[in-house]
Formats: sequence, C-alpha cells, structure tokens
Amino acid sequence: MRPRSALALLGLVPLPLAAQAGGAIAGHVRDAVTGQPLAGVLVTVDSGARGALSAGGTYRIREVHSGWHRLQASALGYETAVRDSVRVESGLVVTVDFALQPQALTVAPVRVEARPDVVLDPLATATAQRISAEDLHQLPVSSLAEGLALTAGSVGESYRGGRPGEQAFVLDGLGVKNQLDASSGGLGVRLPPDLLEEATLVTNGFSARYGQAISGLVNVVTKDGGDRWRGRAAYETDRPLPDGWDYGLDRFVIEGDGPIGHGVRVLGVVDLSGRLDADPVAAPPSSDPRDPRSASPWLLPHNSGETYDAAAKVTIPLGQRETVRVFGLRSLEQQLLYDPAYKYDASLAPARRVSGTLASVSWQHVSGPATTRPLVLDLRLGYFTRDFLRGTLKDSVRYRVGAFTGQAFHIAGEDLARAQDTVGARAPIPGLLPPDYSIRTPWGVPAFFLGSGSRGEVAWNRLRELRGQLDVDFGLGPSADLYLGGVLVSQRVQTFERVLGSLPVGDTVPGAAAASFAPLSAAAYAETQLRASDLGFTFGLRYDQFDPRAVLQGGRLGARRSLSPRFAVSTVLKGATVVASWGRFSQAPDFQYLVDAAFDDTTRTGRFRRGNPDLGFETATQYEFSVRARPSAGTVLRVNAYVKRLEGLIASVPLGVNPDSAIFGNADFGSVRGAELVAEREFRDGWGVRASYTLQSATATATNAYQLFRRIRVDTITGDTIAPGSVEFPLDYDRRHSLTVILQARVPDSVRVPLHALLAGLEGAAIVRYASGLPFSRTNPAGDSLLGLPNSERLPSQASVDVLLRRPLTLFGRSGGVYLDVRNLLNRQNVVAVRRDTGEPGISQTTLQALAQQAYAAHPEPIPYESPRYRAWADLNHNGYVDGPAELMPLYLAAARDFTQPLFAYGPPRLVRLGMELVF
Amino acid sequence: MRCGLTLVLLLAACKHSQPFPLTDYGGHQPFAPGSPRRLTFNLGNDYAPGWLADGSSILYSVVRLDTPHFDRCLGLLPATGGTLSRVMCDRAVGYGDSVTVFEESAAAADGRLAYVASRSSVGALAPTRMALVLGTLAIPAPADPLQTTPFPVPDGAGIAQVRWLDAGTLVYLAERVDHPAKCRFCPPDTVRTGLDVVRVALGGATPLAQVVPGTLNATSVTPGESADVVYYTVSGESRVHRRVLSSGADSVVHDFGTGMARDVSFAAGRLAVVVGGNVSVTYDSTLGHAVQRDSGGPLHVVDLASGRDTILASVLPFRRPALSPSGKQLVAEAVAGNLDLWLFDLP
Repeated sequence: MRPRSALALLGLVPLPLAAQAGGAIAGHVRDAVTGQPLAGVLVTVDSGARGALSAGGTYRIREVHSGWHRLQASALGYETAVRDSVRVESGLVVTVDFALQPQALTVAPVRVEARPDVVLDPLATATAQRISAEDLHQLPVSSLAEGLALTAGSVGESYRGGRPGEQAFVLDGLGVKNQLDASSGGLGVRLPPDLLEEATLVTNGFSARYGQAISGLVNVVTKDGGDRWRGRAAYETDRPLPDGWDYGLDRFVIEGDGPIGHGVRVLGVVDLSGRLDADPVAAPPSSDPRDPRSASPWLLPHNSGETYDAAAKVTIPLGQRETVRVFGLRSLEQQLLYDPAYKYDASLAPARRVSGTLASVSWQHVSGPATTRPLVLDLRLGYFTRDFLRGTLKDSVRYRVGAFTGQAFHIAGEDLARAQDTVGARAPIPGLLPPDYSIRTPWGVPAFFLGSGSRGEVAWNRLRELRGQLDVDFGLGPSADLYLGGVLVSQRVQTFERVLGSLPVGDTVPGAAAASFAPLSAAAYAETQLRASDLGFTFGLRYDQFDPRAVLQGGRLGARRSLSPRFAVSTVLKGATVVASWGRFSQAPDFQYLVDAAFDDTTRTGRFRRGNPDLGFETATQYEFSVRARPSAGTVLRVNAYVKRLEGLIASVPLGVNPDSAIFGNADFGSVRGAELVAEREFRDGWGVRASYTLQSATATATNAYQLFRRIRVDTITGDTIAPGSVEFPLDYDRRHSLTVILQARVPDSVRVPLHALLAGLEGAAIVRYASGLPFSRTNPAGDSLLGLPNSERLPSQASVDVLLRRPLTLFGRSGGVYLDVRNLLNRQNVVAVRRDTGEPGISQTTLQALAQQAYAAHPEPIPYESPRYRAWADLNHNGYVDGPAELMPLYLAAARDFTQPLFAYGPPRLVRLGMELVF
Repeated sequence: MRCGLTLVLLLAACKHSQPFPLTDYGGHQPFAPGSPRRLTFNLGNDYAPGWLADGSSILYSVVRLDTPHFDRCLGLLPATGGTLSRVMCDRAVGYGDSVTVFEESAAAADGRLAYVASRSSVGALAPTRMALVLGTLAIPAPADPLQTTPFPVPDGAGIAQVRWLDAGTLVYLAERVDHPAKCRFCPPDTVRTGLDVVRVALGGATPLAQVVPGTLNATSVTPGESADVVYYTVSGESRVHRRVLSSGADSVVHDFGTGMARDVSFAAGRLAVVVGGNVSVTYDSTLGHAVQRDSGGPLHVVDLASGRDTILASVLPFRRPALSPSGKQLVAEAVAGNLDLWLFDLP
C-alpha cells in the first residue's frame, strides 16, 4: 500500500451519509468497444461476497468496510476486469468505472488505484474532516484527540463554539458517550491509534442515524485484521534529552493482526504511555532563589500520569453474506494531580483513576451481489462502562519504569464510595487526616501551603450502559437509498462525593452526596438519499426519547422527547460543488446535572448543589452553506458558512435564597455563527500544504447561580418585573480567529545533496497554529463581582509550531524508522488562563500584599527555635524567634508569591520525543 | 531487529529527570550550648516531658499558639535539642469549636504510645471527653481509646504521669482536678492534686485498671528497675517510696529531710526529684478538700547506690523532671511565666 499524504485526508471532505462504518462503491459499466452501457454485470468486492449487478449501465455497492479493497467486474461475453487498491472511506462514495473488453481479447487485469474525489462529489451533503492512522503517523500528533484538534472550528475538544462533550463518539457504527459528565470528564476509553482505520469529525448535517450531539460527531472506524500476519512495535521517549527537555516520557506500542483460519482474522493492540510530568507547563521559574522550582522549574512533583490501553478485534465471516465482529477495548488512566497548595507535601495531593471498558458485537447481513434491491442489516450490541475515582492515595506511589507504577491506585474511602455508604461516611474516613499548614516550605510560616493531611475529598462515579442498535439500509434503485433504524440504551448511573472526609459530618462539613438511577433512552430514525444527475438530496428524521427514571417527592418524572428533522441538498454549479443543509440536533443533559453534589470550599460553608432530574434536551438548529472547488488539478478551495441556534443550554440557577446553593436548569440559549476557509495544495512532487482559517462568533445568555449579571427590567406600564433580557455574551469556547497551516515534505530517495545517506527519504511535517484568545470575565479583587460584562475580556492569542522528522530505515530486512517529534518548537509561553481579578496570569502587587497581610494577621505568633517553621536566616536578631512584622512579613510575602505562581496559566512547553518503530 | 532492540535498551537505560528536591530545614543543635540549656522557646507551654525508650528523642506536650483554640499536641524533639521532628495532634485540631488536648504521653520500646486525650468546648473548664489512649508513634490517634471516664479512683478526674511498666502494663497517677478562683471575679485556675497510683493491665480484651493499694495521696509515680517496682511520692512528705507491686512491700528509698518531694523520675539507678520550692498543700474550704499548688522547685538527683543527693544548680524552678534511659541527661519543665523544657547533662 502506497503511503498517502496526510494533507489529502485532513481536508474538509463531503459526506453523503456521515458517520458510517463503511462507504460505498459506485460507477458506470460500459462496453469498451461500443461505449454502450451494460446491464447485468456483476461487480464484486474482494472475495466476491459483496457486490452488485449493474442496471442501466450503473452499479452501487453499499456498506463496504473502510479500507483498501479489490474490485472485479465480470459478465458473460466479456473479459473480467480487476481494479486493485480501491480505497473506501466511511460515508464516502468512491467512483470506479469499468469498460469491459469483449471476450475475444485476452487482457491482463487492469490495476489502478481508485479514490473518491472528496472535493467535487455532488452527492455529498455533510461536511466532515477526516483523519486516518496514517495522518497520526505522519504528523506531529500522537492521539486521535490531537488529530481532531487540527480540524477547522475546533478548540481542543470543543467544536464550533460548543463546550466539550457536545459531540458524540461513534465507534464502528455504535454510539459511545460518557453521558455522566461529558462536559468535564473524558470518555474513559482511548482508542490506540494503531487500531484506527480512520476517524471523521462531522460538524454539520450528520446522518439522522446519530444523535446525542449538538456540536459534532466523531466517527471512528477500526481496522479489521489483515489476510496475512503483520505488526508494528514502537517506543518513544525523552530520556536521553537534557534536563528541561526530559519530562519523563515513555511510550510502548505493539500491534499485530492476521488470519487464524477459516477466514477469521484477529487484531490486537497494546499502547502504554507514561510521563513523570503528565501536564507540563511553560510557566517561568520562580525568581526567588529559595524556591526550589527556581533551580529546576521543568518537572512538577506529583504530576505523573500513566495510561494503559489494550484492544482486540475478531472478524468472523459467516458464509458469504454475514459477518460478525467482536470488539473489546480496555483503558486505564491514572494520574497524580499537582496541587499548588501541596507543593511541599506533594504526596498528599489528590490522585485520579479513570477506567473504561467497551465491548461490542456486531452482526452484519448483506444481500447477494445479484439482487436488484440491495439490503444491509447491522445489528450491534455494546456494553460500555466508565469508572471515575479521585481522592487521596492510600499508599505512596512506587514507580517501576519511568512513570509506570504497574499497579492500580487505591483511594482512601474507596470502599465507602463504591458502596455509596452515606451513613458510614458521616464519620471521618479511615486513612484521611485533616490538613494543616505545611512545615516544609522554605518560608516556614503557617500560610497557603498545606501538609499533614489531604483535602479529604472522595469522589467516585460509574456509568454503565448496555446498548442495542439496528440499522437497515435499503437500496431503492441506483438513485435512491433508504436508511431505517433504532437504538435502545439502558444505563446505570452511580455517584458518590464526600468532602473534608477527615472530619465528621457536622454543621460545617456537608454530608456525602450519592445518587443511583437507571435512565433509559431510545431513538428511531429514517433517512433517504436521492440522487439525480448532479443533484443530491438527503431527508432525515430522528426521534429521541430520554427518561432519567429518577423518583422525586412528587413521583416519577416522565420521559422527554425530541424530534430532529434534517435536510440537505447539493449540486454542481460552474465547476464548484454547492451544498446547503439544515438540521436540528439534540442531546440529553449530562447526568452530572441531575444529581446532588457537595463542594469543598476554603471557608467551609458546606456548599451544596442540588441536581435537577427534570432537565430536558439541549438542542441546536444549524444552517450551513458550503462551496467546494478545484481551482487547479492539485489545489482545493473550500468555504463553509454556518449559523447555529442553541436552545435549552444547561445553566446553574439560584436555588431559594441561599446564596451558596444552586440548581441546574435548561435556562440559556445562544447562537454560533462562523465561516471556515480551507485552501490546500495537495501533496505532489514531494510537498504539500494546507491552510485552514476559521472565523467564529459563539454567544449565549449567561444565567448563573450567583447573579453575577442579570438584566431585570420593570415594565413601565404594568410595573411587572420582566425576566432577564435576551442578552448574549461570548461562550467560553468562542474563539474568533484560528489559523492552522500544515506543511508536509519528503526528500526524494534520488536527491543529490550533501549527507545523502542521511537525508534521502527523510519525511517532515510541520503544524503552525495561531488562535485568538478565548473570553473570560473580569472580577473585582474579592472575586465576588463582575467588572464589565460576562466574558467581555479576551485571553492573549496563542501560537505554536510543531514539527515531526522521520527517517525510514531498514534493519535486517525489516522496515521501520526513527523520528523526532517536537511540539511547541519555539517554546512559546502561551497563556491559556488568567486570574479574573488581574486579567493576567500573575497576581497584582496589591493583592499579593493583601494576601500576605491577611495571612500574617491570622498567624502573627512568633515562631520559636524548635518549631519546624523556624528559619534561621529569617531570625534577624538571633533571639530564637522569628517574630514581629520585620521578620515575619517577608516570609508571608515570599510564601504568597510562591503560592500564587501562575503555573497552569501557561500551556505546554517545548516537548521533544525520540521514537523508533519496527514493522514486521 | 537486534540493532533496534539495542537502541531501545540504550534509550531505556537513560535516567529521567526528577522534580525539584526539597530542603530539610530541621536541625539537631540546641539554640545555645551549655548545661542546663533551653530546648524550647515556644511562648505556649511545653510540659510533661518523657523519653523514648532508646533515649533518642524527648516526647512532651506542646501548646500550639498557631491554632485558633490553642490546642495541645505531642511533640517529639531530638535528645540533642533542635527542631521538633514530629508534632502529633488530634485529627480535629484547628477545626470546629473545640479544644483538643494530647498530653501525659509515654512511648514504649516497641513504638506504642500511651497518652491522655481530651476535648472540651471553647471556654469550658472541664473536658467533655477524656480518655487514656493507646496508639503508636506512627499512628498516634486510634479510633478506640483504652479507658474513658469514670475512673477507678473515687473523685478521680485526671490522669497524669503515664508510664510503661512493661509491654503489657501501664502505670499512672490518678488526680483530682479542680478549677478554683482566687477571688469572686478572678479567672479560675486549674489545680491538679494527686490521689492514687493506678496500674493498667493491657493483656485482656478489656484493659484492667486497678488502684495500687496504699498509695493514697500520691503526688508522683515512676517505674523502677523492673516491671514489678515503682517509686512514688506522697503529698506533704519529703520521702521517696519504693513499692514492689507483686508483694505489696513498701519502703522509703530516700528522705530529703525537708521540703516536699514530688515529680519523681527513675533511670539507671538514679532518682530525679523536685524538692521544696514553691509548692503548697492547703485545705480549700470551698472545695472541701486539700489541693496542691505547685510552681516548681529545685531539682535533686539521687544516686540510689550511694545515697548521694545532688542539687542541680539553676535559678529557675522546675517541675516534672525526666531522666534519660541512660541516666546521663535530665529534661524538665522550667516554670518561668510559661513552661519551657530545659536539658541538664548529668555527671
């Protein structure tokens, strides 16, 4: 298989029916001599199990699994024609035409590579951005999430202004979503890139087959095992690099797949990654030489992370028409969480463990190639569970290799949490001690930094889901398809949260909050696609139902329902493909908004947030218009313009008169408007480039629990109070401008340059990114009042340059390579957050003085000689005490300055990794 | 393949960078040399010292002025002086509206730790809960106390001078605790008067506390040369008694002649005793019984073999001396405004 350019894949590509596990092959069949259309020609895929008969000179083969295939056309009286290397991509139609020679001639099979023209296909209506395993291989990205972040309109895992979690994840046609806390937690399972066939981000017009998303759809197709054994092993590290470049990275990947007999093929991947500083920052070092971070500012303590991902897939053909696929994926992520308050007693800072399991079985039936009414049936069953745990480690971590501990983290109070024992949790949780001010700081004074005990948080939740899904594809002739189906999802949600767990529940310590309920969701859809010459139409209708099945005082709440029509039309006008689409999308709220939660806070007021099981769907209605064109053979230009109206967004609203209590409601609404421009010079002659620019405005009303801003008006005639006006403010992910440029080049093997042996065959890729700042709200120094309007301020812009250099090598007959991957090459200190009171990463001198003064006022007592807090250098008069403002205040000031270092206000620093891989 | 493997092994052989190291700010030197030398400078009280069995550290109670209600914790100080190596507190210290107290501690050779824990409301005189607790130096605050009030001693309300006789036996002084005020509007004082010596056997499922017969009005107690022997003093007397617990045999091992002897400590054939000084035993007509007020006195060290009595020179009055296991050092609380610990090197 010839390597392709990542650029050719990363572009915006049109999808006729987005988010499928397979694509389609269609084309014309004619007599090579007379040019007449031929009917009754059998066109088959691979072994011949899949195929179609031509009618009226055209054929269409539906639901062909993504990947490379071999196509054969045969008819009585004609020589069989073969096309190798036909690349099918999910949701796309690849066009392969045949001209059959009459039987008298003996012609060797014609072998060509057929690929869809992703730009000009007029039958495509949705807009998708695609990334394949090869892209992940060829670009300086190492995960699917990083690859998707390159797409136009994305801000990390936020798409088109939506918050994270407003997208759905579809794996091999089966939906998977962390419905519990998608907006703040991850999916819980990570797909090893080596398992990936391709992934697509669809931001508009996605098929009515898919719901539970209002911003986009991530459609992932995994590879099937191959028909011969093959594998890949890779190791990445930054060990040999000097201090400041070595963040403790080790990553091991091994993949293998092949046949095991009777047509059964298997595939297995193990991907292990660990880093001693899992969340590195480009924050400047402290200027105080007594701060230990001033000497070695690169690695944060207690910030290591490790991920273990393993997946396997078995593909079992059952005769000629049916295939069963069994898939399993297990992911475990463990991370120590650096807490600035525990800088000097890091082992007491919290840790997190997230595990996820996904298992699925799919059965596919495909009608025979000779049928005139093709039918594809897909029945899928999936089980998904995500388990989240955060709290204080029972035992200190012992590393085995790099950041790998090789054992599961255990959290104090884990047993109580899993049992949801809120009664037992009223007593102090065994293994937890209350925190005291640290004695290990350079400053000694009892302020800011904690030690002796942890914050005492125990948080656990688990989402389990059993999903059944049936999809039926009917072929209604060469110019129409009908898609029908439904899904039934039974879920189980369990949560537990206890704060200040080292203390008994009392007036100032809130009790544990726990919830357990079993929502039931169902959906059904119907969609048809009609084709007429250069005109394509898609009509879809989706019905969603969601019932939290939670019981309130007034009895059980009923189900909520949502109807989502979708429509798209596309055609070719003057050489350009024009697509217009309209769709309504809905998603059930995160279950975390349905359950109660207890909060810790510094003043220990025992804040409590009440869940609201009566929440309804969040919805979006999107209009999009896009134009795609090829100004020249190797260049592509695409423009998308869209308007999206958001309704029923979840917002935190006041609960009663208690200023510290809140409840959630479908209170906010907003709108997103934007345009995406993509210009591409496809990879030819050893180089290619793609530039995408997004202009976007995402706004919404800003209801919140603390009434930071509210425009209440009084009707001048009636005197009635009118609810807050429809004033919209920028959404948190309203990134106005973003520009991504991807360059790719390869030094030809035959090039005549110095160091030829080293440079020939060298591959290089660079990603240059610029993005304007995200919005934030300014507050007064006390943080209790907004200055200006919500989200009226902007963070500074961000920029980065990532580079990957790869040198293919052959070692003892095995192909492989070594590579150098550099992120943020220029080590730019990108500001990703600021203090709301200063609008800058750091604290103001005035606030710093006030903090120090406040801390001194709380603890003005002298520090005696025997105290662990005594610092001889601070005892200026050598009387055995650090006492009085002259001796204590400089310590409090230094401690305040240390504590308020804006570490996480900065994005990642320059990250370098060396890698090597071997293909066998 | 082999070359690739070699490259991987070479890469993996490199060590990763590590996060910044921390500095140990503690010291093991006294603030000033000499004997006696001051060990603690805390402006709150440092009192009731004792030694770890190996003589490496001094265990005592420390009033924490950095907590809202001046809770009292156990401190562990190197025998040489310097920086507290540990401060052990109740888990609720600094939280809620109660004062927590850890005091009268004793560490066994195997690391077990016995002490008195109490909790009282802020401003209250008497604790709402008090217990004799058995923990360990590693985990000082266990869930279940050994013994809670009421005590086996009539009128007893306090426990002091907890000491290990052997691995399964404790001994302590049961006290009466009063809070008399000198005048109608004067703040109440806390006065502790010794009542009896109590022995606690830990072997059974439930600890068994028994008054040692004939120790009425004892003012101090210390383990002797074996687990079967204790030395004790009695209110108003200048003598130090020796009691064989198994036989009940009682004898006087030293008589100072004048001055009230109290706060006896024994180690390596030596006794340390506070004799005379500012101490009084008076009948309080309001309380209806005698109370002992003690503001310390001179320290005496008696060599039991020779009977030689040495008075340790100091201008400060002392209480609660504790001889190190070797008998070569003595730590005591100096009464000078607030209580601080001082260390004496003994010949």
